[in-house]
Amino acid sequence: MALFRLGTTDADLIAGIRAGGPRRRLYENRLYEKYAYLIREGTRKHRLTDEEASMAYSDALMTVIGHLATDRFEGRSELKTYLYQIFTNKCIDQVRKNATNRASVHQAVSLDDLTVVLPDSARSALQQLVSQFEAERLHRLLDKLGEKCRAMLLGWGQGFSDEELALELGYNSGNVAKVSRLRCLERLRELYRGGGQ
Amino acid sequence: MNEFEDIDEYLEGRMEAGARAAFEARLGTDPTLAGRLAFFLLARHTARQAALLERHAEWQSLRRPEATAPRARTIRIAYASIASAAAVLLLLLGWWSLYRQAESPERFADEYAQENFSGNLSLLMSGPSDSLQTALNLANQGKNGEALALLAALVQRDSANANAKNYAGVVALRAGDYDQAIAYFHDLSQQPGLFSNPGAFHEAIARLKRGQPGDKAAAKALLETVVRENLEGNEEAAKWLAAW
Repeated sequence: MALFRLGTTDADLIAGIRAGGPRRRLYENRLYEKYAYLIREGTRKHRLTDEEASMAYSDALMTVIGHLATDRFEGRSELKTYLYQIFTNKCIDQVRKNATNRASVHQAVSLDDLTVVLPDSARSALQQLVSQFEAERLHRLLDKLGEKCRAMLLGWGQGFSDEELALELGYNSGNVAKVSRLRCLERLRELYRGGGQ
Repeated sequence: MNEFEDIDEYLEGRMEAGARAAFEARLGTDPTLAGRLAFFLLARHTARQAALLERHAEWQSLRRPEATAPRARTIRIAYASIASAAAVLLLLLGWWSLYRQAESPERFADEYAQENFSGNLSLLMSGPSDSLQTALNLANQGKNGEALALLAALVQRDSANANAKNYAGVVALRAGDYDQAIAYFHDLSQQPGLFSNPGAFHEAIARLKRGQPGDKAAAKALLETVVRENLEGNEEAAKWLAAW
């Protein structure tokens, strides 16, 4: 294992994450370990607490993993540079949250990354609609969906494809996983509309 | 079809161009669809946040001891040590800089000129050099202009009068006329056949006092010549060069 850790190049990590399957998580964890020293920079350079900086790092890593899995990372820069840039942005976001006393992860909902496909005219209107929902209540309702639905939606939130979700959660195909995922989403909406807490 | 399917297809970029345009047009006029899309986006964001909290907890357990708090404390201590060492180093550098300033060639030249050129000027032996003594008396009275004029006349009259050249340089230097001092001393340094010739050494002093670009380097070269050729002032020159 030590040799695996020492010898894992960025190219290995990228290929491992992109290959998916049961070993994807292993490569994700190796990627985390490889650049975990950046957390110290977050505490030093941005004057964040260790918890804040490590959360910013986890957040950045999850973004990078999503970009790797969906081929949004095109390899124009080094993986480390790419991760560092996103991590820096996350740290700056945290600094701003601290400055405006909006530290809760559920309060400041920014959908920039998710609404990139939307036309500009719709984006701000949607952002306004989103802000009308109670994000924290929705977060709590995720736990009431049942284990499998919750795992399905959390995997979806991380950027797993339906095929990967099928493999991970034991569905026959990506299509079946997709139908289940959308049903889970509908159930969450019903819970929310029903006033569930 | 599940009501979220259209939204899913749209956001994943799997919709054909026509359907996509229709979807976007409908989005602007159908508040129900807009509300559903908003819920979809928020649900994905919320699911991501929940997943992030789980992965973060898992990843935290992977952090090696040196990457977590104890290491952070160690690093803070290390930073404190480095900062202290840097402060001490800066103090030492400051002290060294002052020391070097105190030992600088310019400082040596100032001190030498103060000790040897600022007091009463006199000849060891009087006699045939009455005019020279008269010039020195004028200089001692602060009449540097008159003294220099007399000395210049002596040099003009006898270009081999090394004493006149040397004192002309000294008086010029006392008057702050470094250009003229350098000229006299340089002329003296080029005079052959003297048992003792302070020309080069004094020219170095005058250049260090003037301090124009290139003067310090020229002074150094002159001092090196003084030492190498065992000229007058060689002991001081060696000391000054050591502190260069």
